[in-house]
Amino acid sequence: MKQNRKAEMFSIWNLISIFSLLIIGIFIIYPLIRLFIKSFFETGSFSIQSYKDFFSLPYYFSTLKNSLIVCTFATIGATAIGLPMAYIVTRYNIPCKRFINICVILSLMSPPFIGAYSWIVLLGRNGFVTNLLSGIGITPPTIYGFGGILLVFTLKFYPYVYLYVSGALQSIDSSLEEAAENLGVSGLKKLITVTFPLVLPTIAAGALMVFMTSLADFGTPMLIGEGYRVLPVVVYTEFMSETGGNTSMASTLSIIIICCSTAILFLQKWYIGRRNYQMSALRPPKVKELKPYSRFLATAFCFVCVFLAMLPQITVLVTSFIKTNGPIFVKGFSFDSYLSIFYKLGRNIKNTFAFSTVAILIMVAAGMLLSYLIVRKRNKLTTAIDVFIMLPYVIPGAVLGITLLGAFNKPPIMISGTAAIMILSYVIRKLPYTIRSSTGILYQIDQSIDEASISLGVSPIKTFFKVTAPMMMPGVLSGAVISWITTINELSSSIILYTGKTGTISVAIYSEVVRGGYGTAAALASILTLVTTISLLIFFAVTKSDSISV
Amino acid sequence: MSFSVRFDEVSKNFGEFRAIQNASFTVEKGEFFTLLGPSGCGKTTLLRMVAGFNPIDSGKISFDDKIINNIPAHKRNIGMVFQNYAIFPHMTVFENVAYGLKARGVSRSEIDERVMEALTMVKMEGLKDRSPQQLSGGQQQRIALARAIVIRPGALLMDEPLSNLDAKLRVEMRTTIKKLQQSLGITTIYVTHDQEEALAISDRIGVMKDGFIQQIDSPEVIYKHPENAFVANFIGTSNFIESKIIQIGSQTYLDVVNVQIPISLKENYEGEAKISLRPEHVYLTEEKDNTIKGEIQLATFLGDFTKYEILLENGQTIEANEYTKDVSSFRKPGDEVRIKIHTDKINLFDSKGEVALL
Repeated sequence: MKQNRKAEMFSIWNLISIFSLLIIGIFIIYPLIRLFIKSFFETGSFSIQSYKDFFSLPYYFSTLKNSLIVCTFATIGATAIGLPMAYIVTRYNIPCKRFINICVILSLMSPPFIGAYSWIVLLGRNGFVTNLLSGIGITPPTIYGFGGILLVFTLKFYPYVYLYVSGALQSIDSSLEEAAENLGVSGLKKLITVTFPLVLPTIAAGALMVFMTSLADFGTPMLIGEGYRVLPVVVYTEFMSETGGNTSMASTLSIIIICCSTAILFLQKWYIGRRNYQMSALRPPKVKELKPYSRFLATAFCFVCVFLAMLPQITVLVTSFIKTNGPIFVKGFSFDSYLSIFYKLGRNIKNTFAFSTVAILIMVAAGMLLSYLIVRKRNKLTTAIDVFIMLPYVIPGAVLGITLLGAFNKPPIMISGTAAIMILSYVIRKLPYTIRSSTGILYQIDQSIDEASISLGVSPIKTFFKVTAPMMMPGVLSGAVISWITTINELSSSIILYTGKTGTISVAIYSEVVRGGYGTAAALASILTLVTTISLLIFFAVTKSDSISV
Repeated sequence: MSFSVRFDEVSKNFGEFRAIQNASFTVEKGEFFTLLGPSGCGKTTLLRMVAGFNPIDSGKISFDDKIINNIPAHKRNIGMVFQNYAIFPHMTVFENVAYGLKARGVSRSEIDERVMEALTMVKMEGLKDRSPQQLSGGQQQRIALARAIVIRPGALLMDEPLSNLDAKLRVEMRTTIKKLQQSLGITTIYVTHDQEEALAISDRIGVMKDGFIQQIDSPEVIYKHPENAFVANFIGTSNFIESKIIQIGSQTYLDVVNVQIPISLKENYEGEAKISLRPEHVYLTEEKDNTIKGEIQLATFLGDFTKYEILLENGQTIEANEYTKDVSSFRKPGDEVRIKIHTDKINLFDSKGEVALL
């Protein structure tokens, strides 16, 4: 009997669990602890000076305030667009629903900093629209600063609210609303008393997703924020000037930003935990016919929102074919921008796909194995894995970059400046997508399928490869596509970790924009957009759906 | 090929919850044995311990004379049929059935032969190239059965295999299973919560409750002579009537609703007792002497019999079935009736319902 327990302890799955925890410990936990400790050591001795500085010096403290304000407004804005749009598309007979859905997903999948950059190209100091308007004597309001960040965040992240809420609206069984009508409640009152409360938790989830992502985003405020300084930007600048400046400040700022997003995550968990309505619609809600005039207005609203969200991609695509003279676009079309990136920045393109491919292979393998452990071998070890593996959700990319660089720039593990550290950061940041969709599908596969195989004489490990893995594949791959897309577009940790040899496309876009090389930036961004679009279309074709879980 | 399955003092706890307590019995070679009980009674846990999916906390399970406690599930050579069929969705019907044979390294030609033989037994030979998604629930169940028997297991374990099928198919499948089991002579342990199914299909039934085996007997014995009130109530329908055992001189009497009936008990007992009476054994009569007075409350005509709800003088309500062929007229609510107790048709338990007195 005792032997039995012992044998169980050292079963192959427990060994894998322990090994995974070890890896997580080295590559996630240790760097974070190190960062935490470092924030308390300014000049070799323990001090809370940098925390004091943060809360007393307006230079630092204002960034927290700025971050919270702009993210709050972005969340409100994104909800104000995403919510009505979701309701219109799911409940009314407007045309081109599939097209709207796909565009919304596409716009979400391209990196936010491309949005920022495109809006500069359009509305910046020398922007197309600015010049057009000043030609007729109008000076548009400045795109730089608070307004610009808010614009980009709102248009970039409303798809979260839209996608979450339309999913929820479709899962309300029509009988619920019919019951309300049967009891004499209809129209707006029904919407407020039945429909809205049912989707409220989902709205909250979508809204908080918007908040978290905007709080973590580095590229947008860096490019378009100028004087309006937010936390991730200051983390980056403090870190870059660290050699001369305040050594523990970047760490302190990182800890503060992690605390903020953790607090928000817990708030969300707490709120949703209290009202989680598990619904699955046997009969999906009816689509209502609108009168021609209202139908036109509703359609126009959706198309304007989709157009604005897609505008950055359209802008980069168009401008990538425009002739440039240094930083200035001139009349006429050419392929010069493309020729010059393949000549100058071929390495960045190669790096992006090489790193991402290696990272995605690791993610698929690790995702399958870990999600199997988390779902099927529930115990204390695997619960710990579940918690730790999701930690990167609350760590902004720039912070993760700093964390990894600090931990692995000296022996025993010295990988700073190499491809390895880039791949490492991609795997850590994007693995949660693959894990989440893999665990999702695994919960739907009944355990008795595994057991059937085992009872037919196939060992548990072989069963995993012959039965479980093939059945998990669709879920794993759909998560992996999201991981892949977000990996090729990754900027905020790459910008910290790259060196001349390991630059990626997004890094090159960023530095080209900073240097004023708008044409090359547009060409690079177009390549990313193209690959992203193709990946998504393949995903839709393979999964036979036109939605995605983000 | 088949082996017997012996349980010696087998126990299992999930934390504080005692799932199985000291189960000791033997399922004989070639026997069809059913574990029957309400949900949560431990029957599936016990089955999964035989299969090797739940470790055995204490006690021993043996196949013939070989203790299998430490043999991993995939080396136990048993066939298992799951409640939700557990058909591999990414394989065809043929591949599903061949799966266990491939794992055993059986030659290709023999696999072909044995798979087709098994599919023929479950009348599915025509559908061997189908994918499981194209099959109905009943067909999937047949595939699961073929997959389990094709490996010629030492024992066949079935976990509520029919509970996801509709009523008509359930009856058809249980006949198929029974015939197949008999022709193969394979030791079978079958888990169900459906007492009718258990009665219909089993050589012996083990009734379980709260982790304890309550009674192990053939279906007839279990039905006629339940060992306690739980079994009497769980198998079939029973009316429980409060009564007393009294001693007058040297004669023991059953005192039920002001009627005294002479009775002889296994052992001496006096005081409160429970009569367990099946509805078909409630005799409605016109006799006034030594009969219990009651009033019809509800009459439900069901074709071959009529079900009456009868309020007794002591305030209890009982059910009675009266067969259409035995009567010329039906009773109406409000009618007075007389009930005669035949002591050879009742079961009698102590006040807690734990000990049979007859």
